[in-house]
Amino acid sequence: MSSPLYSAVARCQLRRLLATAAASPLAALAAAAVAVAAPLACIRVGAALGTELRGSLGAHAVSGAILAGPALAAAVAGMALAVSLPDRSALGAQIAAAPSSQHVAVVAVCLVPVGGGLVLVAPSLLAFTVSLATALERDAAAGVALALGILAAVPAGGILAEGVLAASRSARRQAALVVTGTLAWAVLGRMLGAATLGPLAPATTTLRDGGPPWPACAASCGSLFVLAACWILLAARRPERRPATRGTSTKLVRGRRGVLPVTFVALLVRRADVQLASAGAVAFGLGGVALAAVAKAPAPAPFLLGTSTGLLGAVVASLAVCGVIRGGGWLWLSAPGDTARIARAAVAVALALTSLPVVAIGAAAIVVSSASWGAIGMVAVVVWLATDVAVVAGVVAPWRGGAGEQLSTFAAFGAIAMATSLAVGVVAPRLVAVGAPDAVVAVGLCCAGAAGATLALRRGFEGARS
Amino acid sequence: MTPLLAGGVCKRYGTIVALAEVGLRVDAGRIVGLVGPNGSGKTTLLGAASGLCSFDSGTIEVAGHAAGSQAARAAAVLVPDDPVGLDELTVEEHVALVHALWHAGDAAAARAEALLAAFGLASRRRQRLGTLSRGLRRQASLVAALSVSTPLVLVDEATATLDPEAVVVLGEALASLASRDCGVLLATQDLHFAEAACDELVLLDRGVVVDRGEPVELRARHGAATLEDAFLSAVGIAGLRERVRGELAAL
Repeated sequence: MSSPLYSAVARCQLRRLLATAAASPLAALAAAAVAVAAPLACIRVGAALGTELRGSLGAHAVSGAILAGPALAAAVAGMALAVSLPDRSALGAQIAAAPSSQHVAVVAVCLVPVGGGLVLVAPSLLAFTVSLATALERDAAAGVALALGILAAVPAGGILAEGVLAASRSARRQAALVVTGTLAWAVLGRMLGAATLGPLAPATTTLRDGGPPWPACAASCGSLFVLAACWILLAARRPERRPATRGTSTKLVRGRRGVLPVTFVALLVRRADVQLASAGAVAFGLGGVALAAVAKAPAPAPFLLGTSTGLLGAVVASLAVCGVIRGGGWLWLSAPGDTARIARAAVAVALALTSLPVVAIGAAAIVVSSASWGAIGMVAVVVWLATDVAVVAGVVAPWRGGAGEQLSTFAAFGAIAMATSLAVGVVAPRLVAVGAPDAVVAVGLCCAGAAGATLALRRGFEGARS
Repeated sequence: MTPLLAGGVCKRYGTIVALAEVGLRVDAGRIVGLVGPNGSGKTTLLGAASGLCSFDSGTIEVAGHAAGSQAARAAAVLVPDDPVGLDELTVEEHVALVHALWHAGDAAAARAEALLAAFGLASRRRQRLGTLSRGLRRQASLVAALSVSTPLVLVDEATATLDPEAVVVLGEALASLASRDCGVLLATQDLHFAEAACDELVLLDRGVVVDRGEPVELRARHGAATLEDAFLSAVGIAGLRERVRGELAAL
């Protein structure tokens, strides 16, 4: 299945990455430092978590949650990847018209940049799961099985997204295939001990019971390849979008006040990728709440699992904001006015659109279970900072429709989120230690994040001038 | 084998009719021009022939193969209106990629060299597409497509953004292709170029073929001194100039 397209797309991605690094050397240096330091940090986190969980590992809910939590997040990431997967035309009309099969086109636009992303993520994931397994006094191979299981959830999320897309475009056969596959997954999982985990269940069994890890490795690895192949097949046969049957027009604003935020809201919510990612965020977030509730996890676990899962999809609106604004750069930059006002409005809109799905999930979680004000405040700060990080990531690698560009934005988001997490982890405890109240530290972090995002966004689309 | 044979092609975007029962034939060695107002369906027809977009009914055959099939794609090459995509490739890398995808062989490389020199792009061969102006990118796209030697060449908005020198080179390159039994279907708004370069013109309006024939025939049929007047007459707005002049006088 080799094609000259793969090397051409890979070359383009590499050059794009180098150009981005050359344009923001400091950010590139920070991202490189994070990429190198992340596996080391993950070893420590995995070991600490393993020590904490060693006593309760015998419980099915705990061993299942070790895989189910990250796998749910990976499935959301896979869904977001599938939704943002550009079609063949992203290669340019001339290359898109070439006599290559649709599978080759899908692999070219998707898997080459995904492969690059894996090179960054896989070492950290492996470091985390292997150190976790070792701390749980299990074979290191059990950690490998766990890592492969989490990675396998990425194409699983992609397959679910293809099913939803097919159903929404009246492709009943394709949607039925996905439903059948999902049922087969559940039946297989039930036979192996955990219906929700499907063929990945042996990875948790090995962790819990300490049996031989190689069958679990084989099951996870096999699932990864089979699911990836199924995703490519479905993506290659993705039905065309149905055209709108009737055009609609809405008068957005009457006066000058509020015209910028309303325009940005309209630009973002009319994008199919933002719509699908937000809908998916709510669906998967509610799925997380249901999963935690069924497993009888104590509060605030359903609230935290649901909101954190939903945030991963909801953040697409913030990732897209800079690309959307830069798309109309000719208008913003030629119009009289202050660019800071534009940036402030865009960050506010990004925050609102990212928060809404999380608020909906959080409200459902509080109804099902409960959550303390402390947990609610913590999630609010995480959502706020994630929005700011996503806006900055969108500036570093603008969200457009080109081959791999949206995946580059995700990669930038991952790197900056890790760097921000490390920085907050270093700074916040020290501020609390010198006597600053938690609330003041939280508000300070949010203000710093919003200011950073506004500044980055302003510089980002002013950069389009040059 | 006829390079392009289309019959009864219909395509709707929701309630908008893009193509209505369009029939078209491009024989080997012929240059056929699609002329029509913006939104008349020219790009949709080229997209359908190149396999980039589906159509609701009718048939399109490219060198005897159903449009969109891999064999049909191999028999046609497209020069798009907006040549964006793999912008980080250099001009020569883009040309080499197109040759590799169409399995064009060594002869194509020699033709590409000649075309690069003719378009004045030889000195820019190592420049990245993303750093070129739109006109130069279209020229790079033309070099890649015209050097492949497929039975059918599709050119969208043939002269858009090209400088006068490049328009002359394009006209000569298309004539050279036709002399080698290649069929060419081009869409253009440039009536002067269409008259000079095309053997036959197909006038489209709101997805419907309103007239077709050689440029001389069209002028004679509509009793028009220029192709522009023949076009205005064919699409039913012969008095446009006078009407607009009157309306603008109020300004």
